[in-house]
Amino acid sequence: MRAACRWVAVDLRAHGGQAALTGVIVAGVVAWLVLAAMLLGGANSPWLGLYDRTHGPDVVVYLAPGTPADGLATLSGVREASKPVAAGTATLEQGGAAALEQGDTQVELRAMPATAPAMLTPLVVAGSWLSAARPNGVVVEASFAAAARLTVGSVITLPGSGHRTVSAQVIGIAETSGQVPYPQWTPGLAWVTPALLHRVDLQPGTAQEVIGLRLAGRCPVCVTDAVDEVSSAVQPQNVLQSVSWQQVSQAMAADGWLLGEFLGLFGLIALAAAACALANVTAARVVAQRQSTAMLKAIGFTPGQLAGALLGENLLLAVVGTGAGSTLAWGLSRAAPAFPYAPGSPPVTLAPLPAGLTALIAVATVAAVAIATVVQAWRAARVPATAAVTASPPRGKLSRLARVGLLARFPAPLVLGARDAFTRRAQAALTIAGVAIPMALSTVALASWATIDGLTRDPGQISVAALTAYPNSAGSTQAALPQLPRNGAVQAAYPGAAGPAVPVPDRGRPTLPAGRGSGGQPAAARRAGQGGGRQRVGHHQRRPGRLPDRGRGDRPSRRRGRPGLPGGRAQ
Amino acid sequence: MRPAASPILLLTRDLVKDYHADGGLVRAVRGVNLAVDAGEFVAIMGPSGSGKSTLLHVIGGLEPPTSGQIWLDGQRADRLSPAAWAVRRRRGIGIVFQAANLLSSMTVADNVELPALLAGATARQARARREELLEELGLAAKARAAPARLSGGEQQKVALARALANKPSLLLADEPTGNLDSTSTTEVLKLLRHAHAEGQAIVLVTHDARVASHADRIVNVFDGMICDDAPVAVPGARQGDGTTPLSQLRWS
Amino acid sequence: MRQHLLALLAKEPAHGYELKLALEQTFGTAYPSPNIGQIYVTLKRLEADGLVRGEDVEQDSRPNKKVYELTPRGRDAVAAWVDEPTDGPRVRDDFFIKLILAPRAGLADRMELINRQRRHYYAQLRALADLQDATGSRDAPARLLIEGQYLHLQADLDWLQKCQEELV
Repeated sequence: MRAACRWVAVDLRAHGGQAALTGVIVAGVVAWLVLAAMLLGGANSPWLGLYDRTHGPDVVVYLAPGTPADGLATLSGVREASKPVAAGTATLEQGGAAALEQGDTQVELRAMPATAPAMLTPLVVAGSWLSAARPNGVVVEASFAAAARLTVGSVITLPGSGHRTVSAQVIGIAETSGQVPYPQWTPGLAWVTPALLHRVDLQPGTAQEVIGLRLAGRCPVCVTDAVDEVSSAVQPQNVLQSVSWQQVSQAMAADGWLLGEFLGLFGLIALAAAACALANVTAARVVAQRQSTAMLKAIGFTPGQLAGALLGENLLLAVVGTGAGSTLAWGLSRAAPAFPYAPGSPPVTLAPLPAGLTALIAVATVAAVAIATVVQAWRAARVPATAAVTASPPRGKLSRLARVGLLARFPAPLVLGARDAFTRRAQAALTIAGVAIPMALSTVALASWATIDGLTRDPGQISVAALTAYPNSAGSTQAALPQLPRNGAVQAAYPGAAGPAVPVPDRGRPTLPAGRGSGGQPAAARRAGQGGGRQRVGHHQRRPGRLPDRGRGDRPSRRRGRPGLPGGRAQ
Repeated sequence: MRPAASPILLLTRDLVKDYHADGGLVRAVRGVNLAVDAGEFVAIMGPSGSGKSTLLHVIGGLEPPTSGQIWLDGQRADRLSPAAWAVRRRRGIGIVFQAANLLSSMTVADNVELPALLAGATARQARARREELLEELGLAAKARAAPARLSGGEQQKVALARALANKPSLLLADEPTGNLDSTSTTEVLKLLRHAHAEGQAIVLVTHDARVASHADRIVNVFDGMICDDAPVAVPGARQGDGTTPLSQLRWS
Repeated sequence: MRQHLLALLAKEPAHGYELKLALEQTFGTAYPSPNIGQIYVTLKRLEADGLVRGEDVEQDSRPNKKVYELTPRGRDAVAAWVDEPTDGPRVRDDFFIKLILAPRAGLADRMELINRQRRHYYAQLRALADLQDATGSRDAPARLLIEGQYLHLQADLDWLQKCQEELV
């Protein structure tokens, strides 16, 4: 109705500051929630963001050098096939050794031609891409760079032909969706110019060609079938290895999900606090405007119109705020598509949000605002038309305590304020809730984050075992206890038990207890801990020239800033 | 003056209104029978607490009656919901209170346009009507001002204009001159008389006998009941003894 | 009228006709049109009481006019009149007696009496309103008189209300 719209317009003009504040708060909350969801999406599946941005592959196939790979695109399961890219493994002689002190000094070098092949081109997140002007430049994959503490400008030395060395400089860091992150997949990856690759003395037998494929279907069976098709087309003995998108996606999911979840939680806390504050403010306004509301009724506004006008005004602000917040979040995500959330950690990408999720956030925010104001709107509608006389004073007389307070010469504003705070019960409750809930949730969230962060950084502090050892024999741990060395290294030993958390049969491959690899067990064990899914990951063999993979359990969790639980999620 | 055989605009029968005050039920209006014809100017007088304001509120639908019947324009109105009453008030009833008639958060212009918008006029029509009304009052210059900047008399004049904006069939006024000085009272009274001369039906609650004496009829309320309801005698022709009416006053 | 003439003569001596003119010009419509005969009669009485002294003044082609002036006793009388506070108008004792006695005698109902008196006052108010409309804005004495009457009527109405509350 025109009159209600006029009232809303006038009211917004009259209380412009309040309206703007509401809009800004809503925008802030929505932007936070959208970013959190993007991070969550990015963290849960940083793969997806990369995949979209870099037109990444569904499957990466490693072929023996010289394999003719022309007809791959014509296969029924394959939609797109990239040109093969030469690659090989070399030993890193110098540079980045700090994190390679375990002895993992291998790096896979991939030669990227000037025209970047589709699907195999990574996303540069620091520095710049390869260029002909800098033939000694190398772009390192982000997770490898973080582990090896390589930054833009670091110098690495590779073996050259003869007994010379090739010196290369890191000119960029990039992320790719076609490679499982280091150290879940070794060796680490780096891109070089073909000229550089030519100069480097590769390890014997590690030369290969890498092809990226986009498939007709992305379900696990489709992937397997497509790989089988490719295998048949180029002869199975030429196919050295294949990596599917599920492997990469799962591997990338371990880090950063906590961050996303926490951020999402904080966002919801902010939403709840904003809703409480808004309810409080609206309640105060309704009380203050009793007389005006009565007058409006006398002029001819129906109770429904009044409630609708108040609700509509707040919803309008909510919608505007939501729009602004979403735009802000979208803009931020465009400006900074990936950022490290802690110094030294690999950057987390912001995944593009599916429209459904954005709509959900928008609807949830608007609904929260609606709920916060609907009660007040109903109260406004119930104001009697003859309320022109007095607004109701706070319930409860000036209590004896207040009188004593005044007599005792406490400052009158203090006494009256205290009395008001506790006699206006509904408002007091809303204010207290509006402060207490966020405080409580924030405390819980921060404590949880600190705990989990501490787990990765210094487990001893959090009273978690620094090292879990399994005796080789099936004998009881009690018997093994006294055999533990009691030098200064071991401070205390506690017997415990471990068993498979969720046994997941996977097409006949033996499954092993979740996540705790130990020295003697081969690489396959490490992969089993990743839980869920009937995925046959193709030819999961050990790549020639690769050192035995180690389960994460062997390596003390000394990586900085990676809040993933040691040993994978399925614990 | 009441023309012959005019339709009855307002009729109440055995109107009763009870209040819950501390200590129990207070009967503010006890069985009031009131009739107002179209174009008639009725003044309701009585001491404070006699229930005259309550009577006005109930007639205007601002409060529901406890029992009794109200007919407005020939239709039963006592059982209407607050929303239905609000709709009736938009076009049919104009109300002016003793104070705080204008909404302080709106400009004078917005205040005056609001009833027109409520009645379904477009923004342009409402603006035209507002300009016309403020022009008549000589307050067109203060259209964009906040109501607080107007004097008490000006506020009441604007309130009256606003109440009459939609040309309602009935104007209810609850002590409109109660807070005003004598000059402003005279001005507001002039407006009322002018409206009445144009055929507006008015029910005016007042304690000022001077204002009430301009009505067609004065109804006296005492303790919730009507104790007198009689037309005001129009002064007859001048006396023929050469004395002016003034000089007949109280000359001992 | 005695005091009015004494007060006029306190300013300066005058004869009857001048006094009439002075009354008319000073009060305008607020004073009932003074009758010259009544003035002369009053002056004679005042002279008999020793408050004024009349003196014949010869005029050429007209009959002698008598010019009056205040005597010292007259001057004292005027001074006393001015200084003395004036009693308000008499309370409507007629009505009051009616109100008390008539119902006892079964002559009339109290409420009816009060209502009738009230309607009478309303009619007077209405008449006063018309009079006010007719009075020029520069006629200060007249306006003041009207205002005074208004206030009296309002007071009467309030008193009527009191009677209603007490007696009915």
